[in-house]
Amino acid sequence: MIGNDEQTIHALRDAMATEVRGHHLDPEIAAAATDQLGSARRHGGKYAAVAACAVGAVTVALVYAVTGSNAQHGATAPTGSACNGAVFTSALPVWARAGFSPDSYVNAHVTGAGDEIIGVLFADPLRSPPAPDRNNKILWVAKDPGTGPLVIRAHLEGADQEATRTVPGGPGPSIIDLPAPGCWKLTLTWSGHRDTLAVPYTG
Amino acid sequence: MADIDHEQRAEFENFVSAQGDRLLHAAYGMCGDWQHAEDLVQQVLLKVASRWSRITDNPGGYAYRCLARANIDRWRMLRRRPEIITDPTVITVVRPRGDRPPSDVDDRLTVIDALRALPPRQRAIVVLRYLQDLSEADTAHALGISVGAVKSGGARGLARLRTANPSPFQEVER
Repeated sequence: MIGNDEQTIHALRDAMATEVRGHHLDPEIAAAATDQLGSARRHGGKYAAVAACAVGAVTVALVYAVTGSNAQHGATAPTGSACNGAVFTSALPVWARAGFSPDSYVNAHVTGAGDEIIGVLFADPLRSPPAPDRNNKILWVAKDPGTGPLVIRAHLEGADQEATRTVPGGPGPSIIDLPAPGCWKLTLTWSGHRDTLAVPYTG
Repeated sequence: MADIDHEQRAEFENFVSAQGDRLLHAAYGMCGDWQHAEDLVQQVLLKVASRWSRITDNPGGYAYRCLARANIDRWRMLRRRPEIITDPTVITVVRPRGDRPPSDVDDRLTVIDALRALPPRQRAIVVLRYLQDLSEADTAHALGISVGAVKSGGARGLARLRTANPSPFQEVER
């Protein structure tokens, strides 16, 4: 049926026109994006600005807006805290879903500002000191996990306290206990990659 | 939302209204899956929204650029994770007809399958240049490649679509 480029393009357009017929953008997606227009301007500060550039972060924010089910556990943090809205209990970013069943796409998680890594929280909330009956388990999922260790440098917001943790096998399952409750800003480095995120620990 | 510039909000809503379906269809053309296409467009619109006040020229071009990059990122992730077996790049273009005569549906699906079988960047070129009617320059800008690469990639993509169409399968019927 296809003899030259014009005919090929024509056939392709016909086929795709039929294929996409009846498929329209979900109005809720459009509405959520419009809401993001406001929140991006509303938040200030270094972390919020970086987060606004992170596709993954805004993706989960969208799902929150669409589903209305995204509890943001940092909401009780002081105004301007990096932990405000840091933890999402919505669908994981698409790129991070490999290995998860569709039923477990929705899970508490934090997202790197650079969209390079997320931390899936299997303890929600994380606690300091650790809860006696549940570990502070975080599954780190990186776009490029690499082969080297994951080094986490943590700084407690509003204080001088710092801590360093290493996950020898690189991004993957870990138990991350930190020395005090509060909003911890983490800088994560692994196999030539670097990303930052904030994680609240509850006392 | 009180500090939102109503004019900017209206402009953004108009942009989404005008471009939303086109972006969704382009995303589908690139990734071959409606669910992923919606996810991609979500990402793109949120990114555009977060930078709306700073996008002073051609927001559509910026959106297509975000879309192309998000799709490439997604494809790279799928390639790194072997447990994912639904990578659209491995979908076969062979669709034997058995004893049935060829139909328009067969032709359409074969073209779509052939599109999905193109390498991701070549597929993106074909989608943006020939399905979305972007100029060669805009396609190049969206994909971060040269106009020459758009021309050559588009030509190769069309050639592969041409060779994937029903004629090879007619031998099956004999």
